[in-house]
This record gives sequence, C-alpha cells and structure tokens, in this order.
Amino acid sequence: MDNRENIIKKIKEVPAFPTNSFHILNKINEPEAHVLDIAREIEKDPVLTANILKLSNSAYFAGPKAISTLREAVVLLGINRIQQLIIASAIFPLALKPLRGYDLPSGELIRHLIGTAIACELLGKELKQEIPSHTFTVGLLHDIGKIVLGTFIEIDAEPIIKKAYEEKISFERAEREILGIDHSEVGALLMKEWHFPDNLVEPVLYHHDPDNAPQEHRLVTDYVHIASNLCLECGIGSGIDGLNYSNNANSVDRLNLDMRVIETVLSKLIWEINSFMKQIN
Amino acid sequence: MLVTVNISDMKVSKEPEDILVTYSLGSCVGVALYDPLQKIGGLIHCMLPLSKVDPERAREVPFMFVDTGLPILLQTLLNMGADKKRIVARVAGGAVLLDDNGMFRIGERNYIVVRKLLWKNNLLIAAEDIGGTLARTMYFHVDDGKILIRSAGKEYELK
Repeated sequence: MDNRENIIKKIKEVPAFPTNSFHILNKINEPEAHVLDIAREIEKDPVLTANILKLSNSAYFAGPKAISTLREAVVLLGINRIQQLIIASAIFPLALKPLRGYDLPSGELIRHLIGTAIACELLGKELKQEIPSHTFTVGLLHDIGKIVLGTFIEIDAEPIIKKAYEEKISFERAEREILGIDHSEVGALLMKEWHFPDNLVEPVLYHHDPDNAPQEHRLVTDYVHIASNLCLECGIGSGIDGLNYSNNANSVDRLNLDMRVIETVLSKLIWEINSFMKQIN
Repeated sequence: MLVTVNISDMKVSKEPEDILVTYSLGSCVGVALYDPLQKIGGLIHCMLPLSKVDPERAREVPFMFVDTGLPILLQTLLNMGADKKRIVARVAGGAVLLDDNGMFRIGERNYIVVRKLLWKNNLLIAAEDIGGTLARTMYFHVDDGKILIRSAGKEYELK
C-alpha cells in the first residue's frame, strides 16, 4: 500500500547524493575556499568534470564562447554557477527515467526542472530584481519528490488525478488526500536525508503554497512557484497532472508581475530550454 | 510519416500517409486547417495570443503568436492549392491553471484570438477541445483530416 508511512520509509532507500559532489559543495561554502582549489578538487572526479563542462557549454550559460577546461568554467561562469551545475549533474541521472505514474516520458521532468530554474532567472531579469543564486538550484530540485513517487515507488497517479478533477482540487492536495503526503513534502524529506541546507529545503516544501513559506525563504519560493507554473502553461513537464495546480495571487502581487512580464518570459523560455537540452542530449 | 510540430512552429502536408503531431499543449493552442477535397492540411502550435508583446520575435518566429501564425498557415495552404471555401478548422489546447490568479488567462485569450481570426476569414470550426486543466497532444491525420487527442493517458477523436 502507498501511504504516508510506507512512502517515508521508501525515501530512505533512494540512493544517497553522490558523496564527492556533496564534499565539493561543502568546500565551496567554506568562506576561505579558493576557486582554483575547488577546480582542482572537481578535476579529480572525471565524470563530474565532463558533466560540468558539457553543461557549461550550453548557450544559456556560456554564450558563444567554448569552454574547454574546468578552470575556464570556474573563472568565466563563477562559483555560483558551478555549484548549480554540480547539483544538476547529480540530479539529472535520477530525473532522466520516464515517470510512468505521472505519464511523463523520459527527459521531460529534466526539461521541467531546468525550465523552472531558467524561468526564475528570466523573471528576475524582467523584474529587474537581484535574485539569490540558490533560486536556480531550488528550481532544479523543486519536483524531486515526483522522482521518488514516480520511479522508486511507482505510484498510480490515475486515482489522484481523478479525485483532483472530480473535486476540482489541486493535484498536490489530491496527492495528500490519497497518499497522505504530496510530492513537495516527499522532495523536502529526501533533501533533508541528503543533508541539504534549509534555504534549499524550505522553498521546495512550499513551492505550491508560498504564503506559508518562512519569511526568509518566501522570495525564492515565490519565484519557483511562478516559474514552475509558467513551464506548465507551455506544456513543459505537464504529465497526467496537467495544469491542475493553483497560481497564488499573493505571489503575483509580491513579485509585482504583470502581463507584459509573464508573456515576455514565456516568449524567451522555450528557446533557452531547447538550447540547454541540446547540450544534454 | 510522423511530423512533429514544435512549440511556435507550423507544418503543412499533402502526403496522405503523414500524421502531424504536436505534443503537450498546455495553455498553448493547436490549430489544424484542412481542405478535405484536396487533402491538404497544416497545423500550428502557438504560445501567446498577440505579437505586440514582442514584435521583433514575431518576425523571427511568427508561429509563437496566434495573430501572426494563423494568417501564415492559411496563406500557405492556399498557396498549396487549398480552397478557402472548403477549409475547416479544428482547435485544441488553451488550458488554464486550476486557479489562474494573475497568469492573465493565457489559454483563454489564445482561444479567443483564434476564434476571432477564423471568423474574420469565414472559416468554420468543425471541432474543438478547449480549456480545462489538462494538457493535450494532437495527432492530425492528413489522409482524412481526423484528429486524435491524447490527454491524461486517454485517447479520443476530436469531433
């Protein structure tokens, strides 16, 4: 049976976050860390190095310039980007599998995760607002609970969407009513299991309920909430759950969104996602 | 042959064995025009209603917007030999979030602009599957103009 307790037990069986990547992320957060030391540390891990180089060379990050060494990547993109790419390279192999329960083909969840991360930055640019660099990372992680529910537990989402549809309630509320837990909480629990910091865990937990996010995490939560909905609007990562989510009016007010901003971001988003995906495939 | 119509894209065909497909329409709208006698058809996948939000991009990618994409689809079919009097339209997509709250009802506005433009051109909507909260994939069979919709794991003909 899929119920809250069983699901929480299963979260502990999900593979650990790669130890070496975790070690490097911690090193990056040490105040006295030197970027070239970090580059050297990453270079010891050939798979991670290859992944970071591949992702660095997407037009979204690097523009037309080709990046061929890890040092160049660190110097040109900055340490914040490298941090984001380390997380991306750990998450993508998990997110690559088709999520049968959610009717998402292989790779579609990655498109949604990277799309949400990019949409956060596009929104920030249009709103002329400096957003914290971990907003992008939260975008990459926000639906990680769907991986747990969709591939490790292989829930059957059919009764969930049926309930959501018949009762006109949001998909994540129907998840809670049927499974006793929703994908936001599953994701947050997994990230706690992985010893991720609160500034990543809290926005993931509240990404469908930004009003209840702790004040210090609300800005990031608002961005990810809107960005994820924008992706669903253009069909990116909308599986069986479709657009069966609410958009929070208070997030719209807090971020001061208007129609021009929304439509401008949408008009740019697809291109950025496609150029990024080309780099992965 | 399965011919994919990407987001902000158009494909036209008069090959009877072709199926034009566009995946995962959310608030985007898919418009299929078809001349049943000549068996000429085309499909667009538009994201936004009006090009005024970014006229420069509209020149580059006219099929992103309904108001620039739909006239080109119609003209392209006419140039291929379709007769305007026979052309019928089938429309799908235009979904909205459960509570749109400030997303400016993009799906609904996409559909309104489609209707307006079709009406202006005296084109009939033969069938449509619009709105709601589900994403849709549209398969357009060029040999008989039939459209299959796949949505939330179910498949049905657009009638």
